[in-house]
Amino acid sequence: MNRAGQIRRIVATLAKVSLAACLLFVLLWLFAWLVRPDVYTAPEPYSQEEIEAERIARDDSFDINDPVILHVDVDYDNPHAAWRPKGESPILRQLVDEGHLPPVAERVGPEPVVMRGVDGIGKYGGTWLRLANAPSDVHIVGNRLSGATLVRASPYGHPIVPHLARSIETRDEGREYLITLRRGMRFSDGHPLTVDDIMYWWNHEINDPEVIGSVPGWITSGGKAPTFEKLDDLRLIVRFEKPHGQFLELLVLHSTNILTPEHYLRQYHPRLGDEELCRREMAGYGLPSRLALYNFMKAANNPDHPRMWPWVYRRYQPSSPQVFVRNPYYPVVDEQGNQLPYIDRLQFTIQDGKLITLAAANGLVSMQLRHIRYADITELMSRRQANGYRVLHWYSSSRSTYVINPNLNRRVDPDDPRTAHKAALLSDKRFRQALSLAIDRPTIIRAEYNNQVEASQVQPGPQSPFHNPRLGQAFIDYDPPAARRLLEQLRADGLLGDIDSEGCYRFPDGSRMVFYLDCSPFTGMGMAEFIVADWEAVGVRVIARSRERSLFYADKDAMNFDFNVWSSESDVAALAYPRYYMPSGTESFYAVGWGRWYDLGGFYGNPEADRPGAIAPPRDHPMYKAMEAYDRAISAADPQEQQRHFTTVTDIAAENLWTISLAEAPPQPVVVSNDMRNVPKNALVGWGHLTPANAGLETYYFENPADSPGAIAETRDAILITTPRPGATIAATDEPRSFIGHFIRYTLMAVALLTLVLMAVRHPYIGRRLLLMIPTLLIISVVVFTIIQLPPGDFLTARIMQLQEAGGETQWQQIEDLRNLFHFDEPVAKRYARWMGLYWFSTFDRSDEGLLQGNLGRSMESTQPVGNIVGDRILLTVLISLGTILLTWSIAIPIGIYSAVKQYSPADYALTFIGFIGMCVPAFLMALVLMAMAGVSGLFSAEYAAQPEWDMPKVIDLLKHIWIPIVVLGVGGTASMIRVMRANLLDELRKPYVVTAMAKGVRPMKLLLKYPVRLALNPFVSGIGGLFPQLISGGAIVAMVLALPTVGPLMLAALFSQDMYLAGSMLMVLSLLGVFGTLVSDLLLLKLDPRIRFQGGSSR
Amino acid sequence: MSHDTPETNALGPEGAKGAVSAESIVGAPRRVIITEKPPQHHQPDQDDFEPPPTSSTATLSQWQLIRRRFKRHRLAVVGAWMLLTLYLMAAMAEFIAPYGSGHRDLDYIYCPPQLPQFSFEHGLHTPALRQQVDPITFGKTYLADDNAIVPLGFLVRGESYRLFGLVPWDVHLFGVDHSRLESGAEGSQARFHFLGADKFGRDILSRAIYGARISLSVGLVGIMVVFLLGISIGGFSGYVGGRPDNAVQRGIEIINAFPHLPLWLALGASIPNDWSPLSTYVAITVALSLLSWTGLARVVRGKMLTLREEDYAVAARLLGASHRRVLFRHLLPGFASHIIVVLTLSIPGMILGETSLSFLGLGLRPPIVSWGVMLQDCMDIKAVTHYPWLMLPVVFIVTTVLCFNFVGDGLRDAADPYSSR
Repeated sequence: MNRAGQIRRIVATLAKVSLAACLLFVLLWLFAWLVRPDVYTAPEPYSQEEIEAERIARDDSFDINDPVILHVDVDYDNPHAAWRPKGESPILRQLVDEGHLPPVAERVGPEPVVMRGVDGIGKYGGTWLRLANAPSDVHIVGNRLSGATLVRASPYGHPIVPHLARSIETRDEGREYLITLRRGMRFSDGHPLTVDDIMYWWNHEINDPEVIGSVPGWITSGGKAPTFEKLDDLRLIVRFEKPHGQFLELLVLHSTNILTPEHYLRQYHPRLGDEELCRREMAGYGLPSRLALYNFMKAANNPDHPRMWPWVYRRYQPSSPQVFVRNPYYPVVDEQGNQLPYIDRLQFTIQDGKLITLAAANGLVSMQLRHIRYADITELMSRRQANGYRVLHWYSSSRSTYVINPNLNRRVDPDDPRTAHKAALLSDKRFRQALSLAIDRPTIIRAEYNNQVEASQVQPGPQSPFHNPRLGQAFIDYDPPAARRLLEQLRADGLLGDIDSEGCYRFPDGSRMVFYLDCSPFTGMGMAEFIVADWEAVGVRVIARSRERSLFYADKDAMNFDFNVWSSESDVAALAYPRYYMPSGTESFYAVGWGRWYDLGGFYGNPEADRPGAIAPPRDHPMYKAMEAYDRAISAADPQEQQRHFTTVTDIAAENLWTISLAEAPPQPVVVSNDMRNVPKNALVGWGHLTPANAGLETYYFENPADSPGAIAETRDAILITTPRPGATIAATDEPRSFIGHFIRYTLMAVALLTLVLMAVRHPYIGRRLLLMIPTLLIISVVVFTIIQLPPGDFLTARIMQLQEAGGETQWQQIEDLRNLFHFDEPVAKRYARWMGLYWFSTFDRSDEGLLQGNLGRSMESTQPVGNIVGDRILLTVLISLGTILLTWSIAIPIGIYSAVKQYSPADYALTFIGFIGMCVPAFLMALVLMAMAGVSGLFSAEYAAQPEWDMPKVIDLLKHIWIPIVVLGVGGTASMIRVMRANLLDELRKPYVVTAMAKGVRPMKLLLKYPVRLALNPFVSGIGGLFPQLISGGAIVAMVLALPTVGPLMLAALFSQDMYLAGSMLMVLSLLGVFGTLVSDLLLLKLDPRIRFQGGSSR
Repeated sequence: MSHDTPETNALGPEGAKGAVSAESIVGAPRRVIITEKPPQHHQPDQDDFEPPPTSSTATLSQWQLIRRRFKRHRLAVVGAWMLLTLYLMAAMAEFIAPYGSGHRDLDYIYCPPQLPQFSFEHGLHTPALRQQVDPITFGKTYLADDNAIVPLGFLVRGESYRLFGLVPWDVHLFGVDHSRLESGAEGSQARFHFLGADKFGRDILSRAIYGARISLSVGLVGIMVVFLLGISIGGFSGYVGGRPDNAVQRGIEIINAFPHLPLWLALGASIPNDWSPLSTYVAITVALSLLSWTGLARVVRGKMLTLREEDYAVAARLLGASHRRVLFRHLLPGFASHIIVVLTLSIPGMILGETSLSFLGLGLRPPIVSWGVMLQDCMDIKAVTHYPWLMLPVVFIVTTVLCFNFVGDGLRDAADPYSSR
């Protein structure tokens, strides 16, 4: 080949590459053009008034001296007062008329709480729609969404007002508290509430080593537990040795657990309970110990447990939505004597956490602040007019939404020298100071907070009496050179090694230094990317990673992390919640070990504190000094004195920088439906104040309550009758297994039967096919089990580490229970045998049942049987998949035929091209786009999800939702089906018999449909087998994006929390469906094509 | 039938039947004599490597035949060039991307795509965008500055880098032409984000180009694993036949029974998240290919079963050729084209697999940039509603997958002797 030719070839190649590049460019240009916004016309400017009005609305400051008080002090001796209970919800009125309930005055008693809503008297009815990010998230009904406490905080935190306690009298400078309960209060089952219920909690839960066995730190003073003295049925004295300055403040949060219904719980008590009943219930629920049973009965999702909450759980539902109905005995009325709450039901829809903001912005919540972040304020603000809600800005009591906690008690693994180096660095204050100085806060505040907040460390803030600007301003300047200097000092001291090729420090022994910054879904990754880059710039290599919340918590409790991120908590009440200033408990993330020690009374020499996970700070450590100062502060009765001592605590924190924070907390956005009233304009948001309970949640009402007659009837039924959890022996002795258990059991039985029958009628092909399934499924189970055993740490390991660190008596019992449930110390082979249920064949014991008997095992996280968690998801999964297949076929087959008959026509090209595109666009993306365009997610709008009757609007609502998953799942499938159909048919059309038939003059249509199409369908049918599992698996992501209650999202969630048995069982179920799909397709094929039958019968 | 070689005894019944399937004919490495028709529309095809036929008949090898047929498949050819370009782009990412992968500029958070324009006054340019913050919603919008433009150019100076990790350079294929920029305070701030910028003000185009390295190579590395597994297991199964073959076939059936995505997810979740980015990458790739080799193994096995009974293979064996020679010299060339087809068609699945895994956060994680990682931002729904350009990496994904499919399709047609085209 000559030179010119070579050059020509090179030029040609280059030209083609450039052409291709141009094509790519044009494509990108086209799409960029499609999505580009208009940058030439300025948006219509707001009027000055509008901006000013919004600025005022955004202002979350409040005057603590002019508090909003919702509690009304009344004279209980006046028999004719307006508040005397008379009004009640029409639902309850009907139940009273029918004789199911006593009259309202009897139910709430003579001394009910009287409350006043900010907008006044409300209307009865309606459903409060809320969103939760996980099934366990619903449990906030037990605290924040009930506020069933002895005392309550006001919207601005203070004053603290009596709630279920008629009064609490402080005596003897805070050494004695006289608690008086209201007369005639009843639990949700009508049983009276007395001091005995509190005494039961104190004697038989807190002080019973078989239940809890240790007194929590909040109820101690000077490290000593108080004594409880019952005066009579309504009066109780709590007596401390040393004054407890924050008892009332702490009761706001902690008295959620105090009012325990003795009449119900005693029968399940590990020591005092009814032996026979407990044995039966343990067998029914499959629980390993009396303690496990007791905790199970106390769980928030037990519909039988009597409560004091405004809305109670009466109907067990394995999956979303979860509905709570009004408590007929709730002892709160408004000023006109109408029993509260006004709203009949509380309904939670469970959604992926990332999509909650979108759902809220789509108007799917009535009132919510949980999971709503300031970072999404743009989205919330710009859609409020269109979707009928308003956004309130409440003052966050937690003064930082993003606290970086260096682990001062880093767990040191003797086998891993790096952990020791990390521990040494993390506990050196210069390291923490350097890291704080290295962060470019102005940039972050601009990017994340729109310049609306000031840079600050965590501190109680200007609304708090414990405000300390010195702590707020400590090491917040962006000063990398200073940070470098501090790090160089550390290097000089031998805590850091030299710098590697990437510009980062090594450990002193020369190994690569990498820290991890763990984030949880609670705070999100947020600004981690900025921080990590800033730290890397001064030579500290950190990787930010997202951990599932339960794992994150387990790691935290085991002190097995480097840095983690959490928000601060209720700093305005810093003396009661000092966790970020001195380690008061395990919620002090930066020093869990010290916190546990302090919480167990180690500071006061309590021998209880001598536990593996409790660490005592050295006497000369600044932290010890901080603890001493805090002790002086909390035992002081005089507020001035308290402030003075607490300032010492915060000053020590300013010097030592226990935690690193970025900025003050922005306002907390609260999404409130325009129809909802009585929601205060501003309130203090914090766990310690039980927000939104402090903002008077039982007074909220709808201007236009709209519940369908069916929903009202269902609420009524739920008030009357509970639906217990599966396994409850009382209600359903004959229904021990869930749907899924039956599904597997009966299909296995059916397969066995079919095998026999078909073998009997001498269909060797089918017989062999079915026989083959047995080893196939066995091997699949082995593979699945291997995969779920692969990860180095699963949820269980983390959980056990967590329990070991807590180290109390009950924790050992819990570890023992977990061992009994999961047999984690047995060899892998044995665990596999248990999982499969192989032991059952020798024992026939119900506890030995496994997969083969239809028992899917247990979730490690909730220790609930997987079958209960899956619920009816499997059915929906199959339904959606089948629907999609049918749709796919009905579209793909005709198009495929057309495309083959008109081969190489423009229509064929167009269809082929569209088909290809359909195959290439990732399904999750299409789901996202369609969802954003249609503005819907899930299967129903929230208002129809809990509506029982299937009327026209509900059907229309379903249709509005279901097309997205079907289209998304169908498009990919349809495209490939068209391709297959076209190819098959083309093959057939070329065959001589077609020519012959045409020559004979058979009408084209008849010919086509009678022979080639039929034959072309053949490989189609054999494709079902593969189609089914792929649809289900492809559906997993789509279902997650669209929040569909199918198996896929459950499996994903399980994978994220490393709940391996749950994930494994889901994988097994999906594989099983795949195997059955193949079987079905083979059987269909057999029916369709005699050739296979003969071949299968003769050869081999 | 050959009875003299020991392995015949192990032959499965299917093998013994010796049925010659239609496809097996392609596989034979035979020379085909064809008569070249005088071309009706003679176009000087520069790409034609063949010397012009000296006579009216020419001898074409199987590969030449395939290539000839492939070239007639227009879409496939375009796809092939497109892929070549994409891979070149990934290889020279530093040169082609206007900004480095670590570039961030907060003044351009969620900057929309800046489309290049041309005017005689300014040459190639794009309007300069100024960030506007909505005083009520705090939404960031951008307005074109009437008085300022950003001049663009090819081969302009920008961030310095090392080409292929060796040659220090600072010239980028295209970008802001700083030489034509009016010197001023704002001049140094001029940015060109062709596809817009993300929540950290990072250039989406640059990141997509850097991300192509991971996303495109996952497919290639993946098919290498697929190739090794598929060829060895399928070849073994087909060549040996009998019981081992049966066992392998059952194994493949079992693997196929697994739903891919959940299994990928489970494998992805089992990667410890304190692994280094490189190990994670390798682990993901292996996980993706672990399920994909079965298709290739089946093809190889089927071909093996039929080809080894072909006369020429039997003859080779009878002449005393070693197994290796029979395998590599006589059998392998017979289905090499099929292997290529199957491999090509399995790449898109892996690319999409990586994307899905990373999208869910079970695959690669930041700071690694891949297309899937970039799409994680879209999980945040406001991206789709307010900043749809964050989804533009999808154009790369779809283009790549589409091209692989076209090429695979073309190769399949080309390898099929009955293809009518």
